[in-house]
Amino acid sequence: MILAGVGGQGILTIAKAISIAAVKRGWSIKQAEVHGMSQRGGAVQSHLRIADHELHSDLIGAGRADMVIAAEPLESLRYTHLLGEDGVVVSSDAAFVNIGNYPPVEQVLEQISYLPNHVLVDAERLARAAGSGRAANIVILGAASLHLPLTADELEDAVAELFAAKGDKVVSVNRRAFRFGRNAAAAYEDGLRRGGTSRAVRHWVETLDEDQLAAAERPDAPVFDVVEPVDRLSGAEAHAVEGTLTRVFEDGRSQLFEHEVYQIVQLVGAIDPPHHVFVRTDELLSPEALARFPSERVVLKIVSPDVVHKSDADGIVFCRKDDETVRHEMTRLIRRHQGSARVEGVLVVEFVEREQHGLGGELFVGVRGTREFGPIIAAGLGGVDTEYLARSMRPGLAVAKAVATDITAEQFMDLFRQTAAYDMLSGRTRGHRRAVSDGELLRCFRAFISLATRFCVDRGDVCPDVGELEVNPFSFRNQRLVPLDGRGRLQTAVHRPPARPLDKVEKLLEPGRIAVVGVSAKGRNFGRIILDNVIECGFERDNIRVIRDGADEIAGVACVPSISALPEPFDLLVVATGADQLPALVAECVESGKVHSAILIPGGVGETEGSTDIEQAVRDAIAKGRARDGGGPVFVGPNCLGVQSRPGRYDTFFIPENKLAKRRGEPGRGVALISQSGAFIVSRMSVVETLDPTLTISIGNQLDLTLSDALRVVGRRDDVHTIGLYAEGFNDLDGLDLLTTIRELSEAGKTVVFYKAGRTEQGRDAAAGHTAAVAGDYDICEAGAEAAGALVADTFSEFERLLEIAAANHAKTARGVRLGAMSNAGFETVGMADSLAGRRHRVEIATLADATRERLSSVLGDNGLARLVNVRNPMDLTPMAGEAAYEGVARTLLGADEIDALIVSCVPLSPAMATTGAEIAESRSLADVLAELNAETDKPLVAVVDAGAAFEPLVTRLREGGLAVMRSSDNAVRSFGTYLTHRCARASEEPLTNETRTPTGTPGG
Amino acid sequence: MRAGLLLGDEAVANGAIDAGISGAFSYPGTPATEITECIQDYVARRGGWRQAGLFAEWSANEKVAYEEALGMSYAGRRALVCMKHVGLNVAMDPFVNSALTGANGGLVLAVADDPSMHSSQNEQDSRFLAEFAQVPCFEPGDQQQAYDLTRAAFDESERIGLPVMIRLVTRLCHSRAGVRMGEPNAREEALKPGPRPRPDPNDWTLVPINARRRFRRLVELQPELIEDSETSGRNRLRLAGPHGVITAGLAHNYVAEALGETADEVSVLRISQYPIPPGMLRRFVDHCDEITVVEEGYPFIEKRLNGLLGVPGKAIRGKLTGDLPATGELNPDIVAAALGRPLAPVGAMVPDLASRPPQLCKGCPHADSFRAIMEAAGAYADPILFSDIGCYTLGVMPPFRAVQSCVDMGSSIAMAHGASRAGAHPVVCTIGDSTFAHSGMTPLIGAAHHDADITVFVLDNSTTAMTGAQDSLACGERLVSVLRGLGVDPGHLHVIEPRPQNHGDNVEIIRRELGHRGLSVIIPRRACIHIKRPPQQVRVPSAGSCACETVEP
Repeated sequence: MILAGVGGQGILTIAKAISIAAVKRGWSIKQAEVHGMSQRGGAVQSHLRIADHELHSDLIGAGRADMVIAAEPLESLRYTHLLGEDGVVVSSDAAFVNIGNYPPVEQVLEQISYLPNHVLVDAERLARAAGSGRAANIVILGAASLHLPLTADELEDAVAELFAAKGDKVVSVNRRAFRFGRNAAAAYEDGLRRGGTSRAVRHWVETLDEDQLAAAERPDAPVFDVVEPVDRLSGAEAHAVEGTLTRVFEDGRSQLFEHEVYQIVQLVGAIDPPHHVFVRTDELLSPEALARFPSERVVLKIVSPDVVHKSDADGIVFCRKDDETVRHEMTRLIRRHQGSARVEGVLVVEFVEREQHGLGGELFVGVRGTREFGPIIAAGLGGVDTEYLARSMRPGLAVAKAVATDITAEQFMDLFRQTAAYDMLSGRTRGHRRAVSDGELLRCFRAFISLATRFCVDRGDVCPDVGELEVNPFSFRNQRLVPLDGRGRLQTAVHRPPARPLDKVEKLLEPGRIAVVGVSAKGRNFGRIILDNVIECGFERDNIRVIRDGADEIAGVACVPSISALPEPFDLLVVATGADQLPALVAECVESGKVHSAILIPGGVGETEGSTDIEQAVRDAIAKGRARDGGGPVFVGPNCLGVQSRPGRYDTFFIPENKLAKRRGEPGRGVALISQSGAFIVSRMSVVETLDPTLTISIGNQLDLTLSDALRVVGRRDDVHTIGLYAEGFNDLDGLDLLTTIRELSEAGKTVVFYKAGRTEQGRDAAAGHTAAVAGDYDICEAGAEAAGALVADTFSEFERLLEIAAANHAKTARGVRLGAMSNAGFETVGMADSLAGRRHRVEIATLADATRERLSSVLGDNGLARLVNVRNPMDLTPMAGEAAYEGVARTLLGADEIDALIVSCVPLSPAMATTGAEIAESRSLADVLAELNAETDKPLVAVVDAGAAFEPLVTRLREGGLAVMRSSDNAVRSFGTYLTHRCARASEEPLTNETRTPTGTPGG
Repeated sequence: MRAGLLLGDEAVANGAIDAGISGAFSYPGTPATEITECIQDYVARRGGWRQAGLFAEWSANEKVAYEEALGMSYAGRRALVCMKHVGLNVAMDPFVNSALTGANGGLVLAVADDPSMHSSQNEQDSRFLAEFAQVPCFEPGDQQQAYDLTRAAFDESERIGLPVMIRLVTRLCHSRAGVRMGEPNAREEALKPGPRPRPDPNDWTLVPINARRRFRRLVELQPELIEDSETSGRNRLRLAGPHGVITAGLAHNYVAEALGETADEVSVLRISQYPIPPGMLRRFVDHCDEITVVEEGYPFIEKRLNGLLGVPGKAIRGKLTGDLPATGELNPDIVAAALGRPLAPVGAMVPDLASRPPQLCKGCPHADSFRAIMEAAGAYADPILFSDIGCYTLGVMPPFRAVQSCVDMGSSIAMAHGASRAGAHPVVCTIGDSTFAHSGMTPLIGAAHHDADITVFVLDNSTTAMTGAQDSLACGERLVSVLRGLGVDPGHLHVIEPRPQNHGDNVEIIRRELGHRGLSVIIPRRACIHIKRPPQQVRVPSAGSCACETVEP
């Protein structure tokens, strides 16, 4: 057999163990080793012959070897010519990459997998699992043992003998390694027999646990489907990439150099980089090496951790490929930068002739680990224009971006197909030929998503994490991708904090008992207002306690001296003290175990000078509780208004009744508001008083409970169908959790209206690359939330409108996007038609069927409007129309099959209608008409009142009738359109349009 | 009976130990290094050379080693001296002359040739040198023979009063097989002067009158050597069919492998002892019509057999006729093809794979030295960069390209001196600390004496790294003292530490000394990573301790 590997991998130890076992049998042995110069990082091999008869030659002739046993996959291929017809290759799949032109790992493994008799094992991983990465060679021996003419026991005993001098621990680790190797190999062969591809079988073997690997019995392989796409990196590829990252880390760098990025993307089989050689500052490029460049010209690029955008920094030189010119230009390039930057060397790259120039000739793909969302991927138009285009084109058009853990390559490809980049690259726009195949793009996305999910995450102590990795730009050659620049950065990924016990949050929303601390006995401080609110809401005084030393009762509520003095655990404690008391109170909550949850009202924690200590003390105390059984109490805030809970019959908002009508008597409307800012909520509640939210949570600084926690708990409630969510920033990875929660809720049929504040250019410091610039935290949040199924609002007023529409229409059925519209003002009908399509919506004005037209004509005739009004959609009813005309037309439109939703607008200054407060109090008004219609129909409906303060009573009346009321018709179409588009997308059915034949078969226009 | 799975080198070592040697003398050199290492291991396990009664430390060079062994032989004790083939060139002077003085205690020279130049500068065949010195030479073909013949060589040496050469080749040195070993000779009184009578000083003092007499003795001994070759039983003659194969040493294994079950049909003369036995050869040639000579190394036997004119009527094939390749080592395929018995259909095609050449280890101090030297020398249009033999010869590879010569041990300094006298400037030479002790000091004495315009880098990594980190005799402060003692001007003698963070400073020092028109010596001093690294330094980088400073806001 031939033993092969790279110097230092321990193949001679494999040989020794086999020899020991063979000697015990009294067999002859011949083993030729390699010593001396070749051991220095080069390929090494050893010929080993064992037989029960006399052996002569130390070397094995071509075609006479029974086995190749290799510690490295590329090395295993080097000796296949020595194998006999039934020869077996047993190899580790862990690539040892110490040469620049190491081919893609999967390509090497694929070549091995073509051999009729072969075994691949993930020796490095199995060795680590056995207890020591250094036992990889013994894992391979174990794998090879299946095909050796010696028994497993004989070989394992030989291993034990070999390591006996190093102690029992080393022996047992190596015995385990041997068994792991043997069983993994058996499993691999079994998997292949069951029809799995090499890659699929290796993935399956990776899933085997230590017990299965250590068992005497080989684990049973499942039946493999013939086609089995495996998206993520194989262990072998990951191992190879890890090698590169470890070298960067051990060099004390965080920046990856361009050629290292090339190596990574090549290793994972994504892209073949152009020919390149990295020349250190103190090295020279040999004429022979230069001659190997296939192009006539070469590109010289400065390599420095300080130069991120090389083209901006004058760090790129194009020159002729002759020795003298290159040497001269390299020297000049280095000198130019040496003063201002740490210059590591020059990367010499093959000049790639571009097939297309100008916009759309290049692609950018990058991944990045973010604090809030974990790993993300972005792709779009590449080159120096990347950022400009991303800024100036509307979102989603220049760059496709997504949370990498939340998307498959195919789904990302769908996103990318919506970009201008794809239009250009696929030759759909004028002046462009197809530059790259879809398959190539998909392969590239798959590789980057795999890299992101595997390396841009917290990996504990395994290896350094990747902060960012991107190629910008890719150019194209024969429809294949050619990277022209790449950068990357190591960065410790964020840890996921321990989860909060959400069962306690449920109690927080509907507490059985409430305690309040910080209540003034006499004055009206916040604590006292809160206490009064709670009582006012109808919460039984008996179930309330005030924590106050030295008082017996306040406002009829009994007092206890401290939290610890509470008779038994309370569901909720409201803390309305000063910030400086928080650490002690939170600690007492945790230590005493007397409260399940607490709302921390005080502000000024961690935000003002000197208060960071308070914040830290509070955090520490919370963490102490979290470490206990049950996870300790949960905390809302600090710096919040707390909670208004209609079902929980309490309210901690310290807003005076005369400034915000609390509408305590009204039933909740199934709406919940969750906000990081208390003021944002109360402003919205003030603007739309009739929202009557079932639950309102002001989450504050999220020292403990996060936005995603609140959303998850609230969203699960049966009495909530629509949630308004306002976010400024997220805790570590909470953005990701929020997106997951939104997706769950959306799939459960609930609507989340989302506003994300804070569109600052986060992460756009000098060290950050394009990925950060084009896929900043806001961009990702917006794209992610939209993909997860949220209704994303760009403005506060849009937020209000969407929330109102969603709340009013949640029970309706959204069948399509064909609008019916009517108004008594011409400008409105024109304005509506002008607003049909936008960034997030595309709706249509329904084409009226003949039957509908006839019915409308008759309604108009009945109301004396036949001569004034044309039958069309939108209907301009003219100021002459009264409530009856409105009612008739609206009913007809709602009854028409070709109409999916209706907008009813009225300019209330019309003398023909009852619209002032006094008028509507006396007669049947439009509000009454529409309330009736709204109750009858299952089609979404909104009303529009475009007028001033004098008509607020009408607006309120409409809203009380259950209608969403918009205050201008164009915004109404946009918001209603967005809602309808969203609802139809959520139902994931093709919405009905004018093109679609209606169920009644009425031909469309 | 003891048995072990031994390398050829280890078999030689055990043969010598069991023959009762009192000393083993050597300078490391692939593929012979493991002979001495094996003996050193034996000594160490017995608690040191006094307890073991066996001295086995590295010598400064092969010439010194040979002379130390010769002295031990003079004192009446058995001595082994080992070296690689080119090492014998260094030791040629005492070797050839020791044939005249003769041996008293058994003196055996184990010399390892390196066909295919796995780790050498040439593939010279030491059998020519044994013949040249007119001493017996044994050539084992396998590990068992390596043990047996080494033991026998000591007896032979004492019996005939001459040093005996054991000729090895790389493939045997570095192959392992089972070896049965006999009872070792007694060695109780090893550290007392030998039981053998002291030689007559006139026999060992080669002034002309004595030398002529001793040379005559050597010539007169030759028939006895031939007679022994004919009758010792070490050379085997088997006459069968008209096709004959003459083999020697390791080559016999390939022949046996190729002949397989047809071995009985073929006549075989297997040589394990030289001089070549002419009587056996005569009988063989008379019997066979067609003879293939299969030997590892140069066509030594084939040339002797052919003479200048060949053997009329006989077809003699071998390296001279192109039936076997004239260069490189043999292997089963080559031999089988030459014997007309190709082994098997050739296996799968070798895919076109990226090659993986040897390279300086990651973190090697030499790499930092070369970077600094090349940056400083880059200021000159055409610097001459002589180098020597060691790991640092890998500086010839990209990306360094800092080595323009590697000729023989210690050559760099003398060559530099020579080139400087031709007017070249700057002339740089790089030589390791061990190579310097081996044969760099002598040329440096001259260079210092003449203040030659050269810049010498003695790369001090505190070990003989290439051959497996054997001790070096002149490193650290001792090296500095040696250099001062050799007459190097202290003003142009620098010790620098080759590390990336010192790069700028180092370049500056080198730049200055390159500009100096006289002898400068710079010692880049940093231990080889293979001897420095403490056992548990394998570090798994943790994300938490990642060196990155940027943290997401």
